Amino acid sequence: MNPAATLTDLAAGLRAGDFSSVELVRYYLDRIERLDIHYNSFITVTRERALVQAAAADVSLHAGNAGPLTGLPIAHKDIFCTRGVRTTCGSRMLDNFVAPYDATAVARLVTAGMVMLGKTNMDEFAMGSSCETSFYGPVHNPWDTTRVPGGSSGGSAAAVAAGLTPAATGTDTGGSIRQPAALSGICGLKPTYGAVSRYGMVAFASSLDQGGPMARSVADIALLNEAMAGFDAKDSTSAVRDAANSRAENVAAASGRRLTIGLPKEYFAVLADTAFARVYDEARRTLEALGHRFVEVSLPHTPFAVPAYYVIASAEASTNLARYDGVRYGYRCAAPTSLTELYERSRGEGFGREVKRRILTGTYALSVGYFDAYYLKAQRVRRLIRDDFTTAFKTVDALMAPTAPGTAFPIGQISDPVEMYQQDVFTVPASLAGIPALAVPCGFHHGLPVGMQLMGAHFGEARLLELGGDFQRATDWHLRTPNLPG
Amino acid sequence: MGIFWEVKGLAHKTVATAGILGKERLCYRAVFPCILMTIHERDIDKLCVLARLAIDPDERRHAQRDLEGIIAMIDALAAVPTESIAPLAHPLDATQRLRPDEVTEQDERDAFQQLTPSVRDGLYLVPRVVE
Repeated sequence: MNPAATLTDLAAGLRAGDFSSVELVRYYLDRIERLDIHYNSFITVTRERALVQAAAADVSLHAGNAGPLTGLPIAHKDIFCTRGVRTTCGSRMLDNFVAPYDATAVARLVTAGMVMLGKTNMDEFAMGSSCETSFYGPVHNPWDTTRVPGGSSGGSAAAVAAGLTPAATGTDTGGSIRQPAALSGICGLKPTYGAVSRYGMVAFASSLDQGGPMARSVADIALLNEAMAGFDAKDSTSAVRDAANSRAENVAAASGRRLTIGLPKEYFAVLADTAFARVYDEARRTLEALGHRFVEVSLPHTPFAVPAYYVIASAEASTNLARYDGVRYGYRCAAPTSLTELYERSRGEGFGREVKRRILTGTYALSVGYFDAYYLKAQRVRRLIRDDFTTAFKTVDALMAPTAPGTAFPIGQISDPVEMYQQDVFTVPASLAGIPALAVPCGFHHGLPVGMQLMGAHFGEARLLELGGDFQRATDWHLRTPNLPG
Repeated sequence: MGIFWEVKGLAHKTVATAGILGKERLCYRAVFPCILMTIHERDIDKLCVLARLAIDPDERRHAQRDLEGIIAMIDALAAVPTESIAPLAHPLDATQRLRPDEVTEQDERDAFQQLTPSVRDGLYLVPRVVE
């Protein structure tokens, strides 16, 4: 077996009888056991459960009633609730939390027959761009273990890149699927806001949070997205989509039409490193050779996306995280003498530094006298940012941009929070606008992977996946792997 | 890595710059009628009371410095004219969906109380509020 195999390869292997699901799952579990000491990409490994699920999948495969994902392994970011398996969200606060139910995204993948290998490491409560804020220690990038894999879904990205799982789930509030995918050399999709249910996904910023798939190829991403997305009555902001509409879009997208792709000038204007910028020129030429046409577009409010994002996300986080009070579940401090002390110390001891910083920022932005100046102001700027995209999509079919401002940086290099927040400069605009965005590997810079980001109009996932798939039929960047121990 | 934008013409006599200047040095500056906010340790204490968050003295010093930087960054928003722009709470302008008023959940108190640090006779135990 090949640790760099795609889900599509593995599905073919299962059907050809080259290996069973139990053999496949055992192969990945053994790799995790032997190799994850180098990456720290898993928090929990669910060996017994995985082997039971795999045996059941083998029965379906033999009976001939298996779906396209039956028997294939996947790892879940430890933000998705999994019944009977602890869900820590990378925090001491939830170190002992075992959810009494499955997240909808997890349940849908179980229904599709996928086998859960375990739960992946992440920045605490998904707040971070480097996977350094986890209570369980930093994650190491398989391309260079002295560097970060990106974050917050960095455990998922590193595990896929290292061949410890062929696919993983992630969540993206301001870039947490796309940026680690780019820094780790894999693919990741942030679907349209509301496309994948938020039910059972530990809440960070509810108007931005969106689950999505991470894998080696765009074809795999498409398979996983098909299984994960869909209306869920249990999520009050789940998008209601007309099935006929979706089918029409898929047919239109699959027609191999030549697209007009916009290059947002504000994004490229700030790429200081010309050798890094050249990777995107090369990707553009590849897409041009496939018949797509490029035009420059302007998204004038881009410089204000990071400030608007950090007001809105922190404000929503400070209210969402108010539920961790040490009373009903989660961490409780030892020997509190009053109820107030129980709240304050449980939260003070249970949360890490970055989470506290966001809670304080959000509390500040929502406090009397500042609400209008920060929170409402940020929501007004959010509308301008979304309208920039709406205007752009009147003349272009998709946008192509960098995913991150650079490649993976050394662990411990960025200590200033405001500098860390700049990692999200190219990803937060799509989050604020709620549009889908796909990260695709498109080259290397000093031996480290570089990712491009394809953005589309609301519910335009099919077109993005078609475009990304087109790019991957002409390139092999997504098939390159770091030196993987056997 | 340097990220730097200069945004002109967004408002009357406004030039806003937002980004990283220099190699390691950070500057998120907005040149417009705005006073750079100074955060004092007593402000941090007040926020900690509001957020029910205990922090130690070392964290408090860091929080003060970090928050000053973060607020300087978000203050750049003031450069954008938004008088006639309505706040956007949902990116697809969706409104809250309603459902029939029917019971759909079962009583799972026992399952939920498995998770609590301290429980007795179906009640959550906390320290006494009134001594």
